Formats: sequence, C-alpha cells, structure tokens
Amino acid sequence: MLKTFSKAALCGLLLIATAAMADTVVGISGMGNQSDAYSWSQLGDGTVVGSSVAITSNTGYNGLASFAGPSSITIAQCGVSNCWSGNFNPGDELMWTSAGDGTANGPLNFSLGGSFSSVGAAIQVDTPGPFTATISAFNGATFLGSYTVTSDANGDVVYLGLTDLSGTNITRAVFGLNSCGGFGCDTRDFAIDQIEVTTPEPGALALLGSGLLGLGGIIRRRR
Amino acid sequence: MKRSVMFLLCAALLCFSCAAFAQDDSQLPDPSTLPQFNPQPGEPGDGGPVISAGVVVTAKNASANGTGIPLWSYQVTSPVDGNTYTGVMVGRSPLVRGARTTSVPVVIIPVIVKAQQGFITDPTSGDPGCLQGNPGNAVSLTLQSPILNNVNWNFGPTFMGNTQYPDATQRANFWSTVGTTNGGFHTLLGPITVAPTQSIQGTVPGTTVVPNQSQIVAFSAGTCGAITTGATNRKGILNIMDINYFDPFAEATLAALHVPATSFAMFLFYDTVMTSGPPVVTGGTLNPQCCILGYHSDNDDTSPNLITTYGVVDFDRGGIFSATQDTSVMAHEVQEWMDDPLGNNLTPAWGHIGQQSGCQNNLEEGDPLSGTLYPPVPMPNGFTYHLQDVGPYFSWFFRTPSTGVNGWYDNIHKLTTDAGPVCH
Repeated sequence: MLKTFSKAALCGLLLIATAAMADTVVGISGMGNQSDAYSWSQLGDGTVVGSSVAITSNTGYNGLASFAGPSSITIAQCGVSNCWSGNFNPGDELMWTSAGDGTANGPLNFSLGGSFSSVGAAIQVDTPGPFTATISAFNGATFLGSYTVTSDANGDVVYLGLTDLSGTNITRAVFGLNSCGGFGCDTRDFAIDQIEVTTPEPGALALLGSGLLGLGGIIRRRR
Repeated sequence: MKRSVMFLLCAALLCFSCAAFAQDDSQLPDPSTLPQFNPQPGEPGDGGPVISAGVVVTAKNASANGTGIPLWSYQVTSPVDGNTYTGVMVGRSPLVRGARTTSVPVVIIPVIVKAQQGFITDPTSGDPGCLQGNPGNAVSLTLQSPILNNVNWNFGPTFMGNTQYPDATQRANFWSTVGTTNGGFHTLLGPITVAPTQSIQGTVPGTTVVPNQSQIVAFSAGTCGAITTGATNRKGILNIMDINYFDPFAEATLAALHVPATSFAMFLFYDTVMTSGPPVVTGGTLNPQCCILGYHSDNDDTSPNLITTYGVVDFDRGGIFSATQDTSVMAHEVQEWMDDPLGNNLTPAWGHIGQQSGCQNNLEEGDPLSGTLYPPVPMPNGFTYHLQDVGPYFSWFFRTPSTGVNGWYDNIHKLTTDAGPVCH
C-alpha cells in the first residue's frame, strides 16, 4: 500500500514538474548576465548567405541560423553604420532577413548547439511603424514557451528574450514578427542583433543540484 | 498574331526606309525653303498617355515575382488638402530601414527619323559642329554621359556619392532617411545595352508636306553644325514628328525586339521633337501642340499582362529651346520614369511653374523645373554635359516637411518653398 502510494506520489511530482516547465518560461527585457553570444560579425560585413548559415558562439557553441524562406533567397548581413537606419547600438552587426532585393525571409530559427536557460536578441522591423515580435523556445522539438513584445509607434528596437526558470533546457529559439503597422511592411522583413544566451551561475547550479538530492532523499525515506 | 502583324509592319517600314534613305542629294529641297520653326514662349514640354489603375496592380505583381521592373509603394497624406495619396516608384523603398541597391537594365534604341522633305536626323551619325567637336554621336555620348556613368555629386555642402545622376537625385530626394545609411541606398541604371537602330518615316508619298497628314516634317531651326550637304544631321534642320504616329511604332518595336519587361527601354532621337498631331496643320502653320521633347510611358495597351516601361528622348543640339541641350531631356525623362513609372502617381494640384502654365496633379518630377539646368558636367570623354535640375523632390509635391538633402526641394536649391496652396 505504501509502495503504491509512493509510486503515485512520484508520478504526481513528475506531472507537476512537466506542467511547471511551461509556466517557468518568462519573458525578459535584456540579458543582464549574458554569458555567451553568437555574433553575426564573424560572417563579415555585407556578406550574403544562403537560407541557413552556421555561426559559432564566443565560447565555441556551434549554432545554426535558418530562415523560413523562400529557401532559395539569400540573407544579407550588415553593420548598422552602412546598411540599417534603425536604432540599434551604433556599430552592432545585424542579420537582416533580406538581401535588399525586395524579398524577405523571416522568421529566424536558431539552433544553439547547446542548452541554455536564457536566450534573446534585439530586433526591429524594416518598415517604420509599430510591430509585435515573438520568441519561442524549444528543447529539441519540444515547445517550452514563448514571449511576445510590442514596440512603440515608431517601431523602435525591442529586446526579445526569455528565460526558463526550471533550468538549462533551451536548445533552440525562433524569432519572428507577428504583425507590423507601417505602410507596405512585411513581417518576414526585420533585422536582429547578436543572439545572446545565459547559463545558470555555478552557485545556482549547486542550489538546483542540492534541491534535487533532497527530493531524492525524501522519496527514499518514504520507501 | 497581333505581335506578328506588328513585326511585319515594322519590317516593312524598315525596308521602305532603306530604299527611301538612299535618296539622291539633289532631290532634297533647299533648307532655306523649309518652314521656319520659332519656339513658343515658355518651356518645352513632355507628354504621355494617362494610365489606368489596373496597370499598377499588374506592374506590382510583376515586380513582386521578378518579371517586371522593381517597384516600391508609398502612401502619404498631404497637409495641403488632407488627402492620402499612394503610388509606386522604381527600385526599392528609401523609407525603410534596410538599405537597398537596385539595378534596372536599360535598352537604348536609337531611332533614325526621316522627314517628309527627306532630311534625316540620325543619333548614330556624328555631328561635330554641334557636339563640341566631339567625334562621337548621340548614342556614344549618351553611353558616356553622367546619367549612365558615375560622377562625384555634391548638392550644396552634401556629398551624394560617386554615382549616376538619377541615383544621386533619388538619394537627394529622400536624403532624410537614406542619408543615415551612409551610401547604402542606390537606384542604378544598368547594365546598358544598345538595340539595333530603328528607322521611321511618314506614310505620305513624295517630298511635299501635306498639312494635317505628313507625320514627320523638317523645319529650319538652329544654327549649329557644319554639315551643309547631304540629308543627315544637316545644319539648321529640326525634325518634328507626330507623337501619335511614333508611339505605336515604339510599342511595336518593343515587341519586335523582345525588350524584356524587367528593363527600361529608352528610344533615342537626335534633334527631333514631337507634336500632338501632325506637325503642320491647316494653313501650313506649325501645330500649336508643339513641342514635346520627350515622354515616358508603358506598353499596357499592347501588352497588358507584361508591361514594359519606356522613355523617348531627344538628344538635343541645343540653341533652339531654352536651357535644353544634349542630355537635358534624358535627365528629365529618366527621373520622371523613376518616380512615376506608370504615369499615374497623383498629387495635390500644383502649377504655374516650369513647363506647366496651368495646373497639373501628378508626380512628374521633371516638369516644374523644365528650363532649369544643373551646372555643366564635364566628363572624361571631353564632352561637357547639360542636365536638367530635376526635381522638385517628393515633399515639394505633397507639401510635407522636406525629405530632401539640405532640406531642399531640388538639386540646386532653386526652389525655396514647396508647391504651396492647391493650384486652381
């Protein structure tokens, strides 16, 4: 009887944990404690790339950026100074989902090449005017959660990021626009700054580990 | 079938021209007996048909799928009347954040024009006496012009870039947005190709001008030139042609030459202008609808599903029309094509300026400053080019705060205010 109860309790805890996973993904307005980043500058200013491109983080994670298409269309990477008249930080290198030929290729699907607790980037629509943008986080194919941000009326840069409070589960993120209000705007046409990620601090990892050990001890004693 | 008929018509005209152009010199009349051309007061003009709204949809679709010239759309509310206006321009939008460079191929189609009296104006034939002693001709000088080649442009204190004149003008037009991208926005003409030379002459037999019927008539006009014998590019001769006779020829030529809709076709005359109707009318007088020195249009009536835009320009000897010489007409028409490629970008009415003595309500950016030249532009070929001060800029027409370089409304700051109250 006691064994049966213990098994039921364990299953219940697991179910609660699964439900909590979605609830623990929350939006963030910046990456205050950024530990790594995938910078577009490594591709070279003005480079036109294909529908997907490999990009390495500062600490060596092998990311892969891919675009919704049309798959045959190229993507331009450019610096703020000579290509984009928006309000990113001066000198930032951006990925623009167009080659300037009238086509647009968003959203951006970014595989991180590792697991992180937070991911985000600054983003801006091409045509001036308000826009909404959404980031969705995944662990492999499993959806973890999403976060939507609305810009001001000018469509100034917004930070699009989220954190999974339950741990380093995020392996992939999709950045895209849901809507835009400028005349003739296209939700597939935007620029995005470097992709930033964080991993939990060592102290936080130790705390999480001790918590899990404690949970295991409770279950063992009840057996 | 229709295209085949047009091609045969074109071929027949060409053959007829070959035979007629071999005419003996002695058959030519004494130039002093030609009707005398006296330009009317005011600025020379341009003209073109009004385009239906459906054409815009077709052209925008073609732009989107890559089968037509690239177009971008704008929408603006004018404070002068509170109305909202939409339109299309060539290239990619200068109003968005990402900078674009667009190149539109250009097909130059030289046209030899033979008048009823036998005199010929030929853009492929030299005329050093009128062309600053240059051994070239209208075609070669066009190819070497600052409209199609890069030059360093400074509009007032602002460097617009090392680029073609239409691109420099378009950058200046929207400098408030493109200036921040540090040279990233361009609308370029190229690559440039020259199509086989075409020839046109009227259908009235003989060499005697028949009022209301002769479609092309030679007039005595101008003084430049050293060619005093023969029929071609003869000193003091100006050919005048009925635009309604030429335009079907132009569209048939586009079809016969298979000019792609992704290109801009430019028919090039030499010292030939046009009238709306036969050049000589009842009483043997010049048609009062003279003179049209160029126009831009498209072939929506003969090719409604795949529209090719084109311009018709006179490479002018100069000395006849005020502030008009060599490529000034070309500068006018190319800019108008770039900013109103389908001819139906409406604006609040403006007028009483340039070639427009009344009122006009479209975004024909060459018209308000017809008769005003940009400072002469010397080129490496030794020829000094004359370009119209094209503009006014977009914001002049819509009476919005200036989007132009230096807060100006044109390339040389001739205009200090916008178009003002709605023209009546």
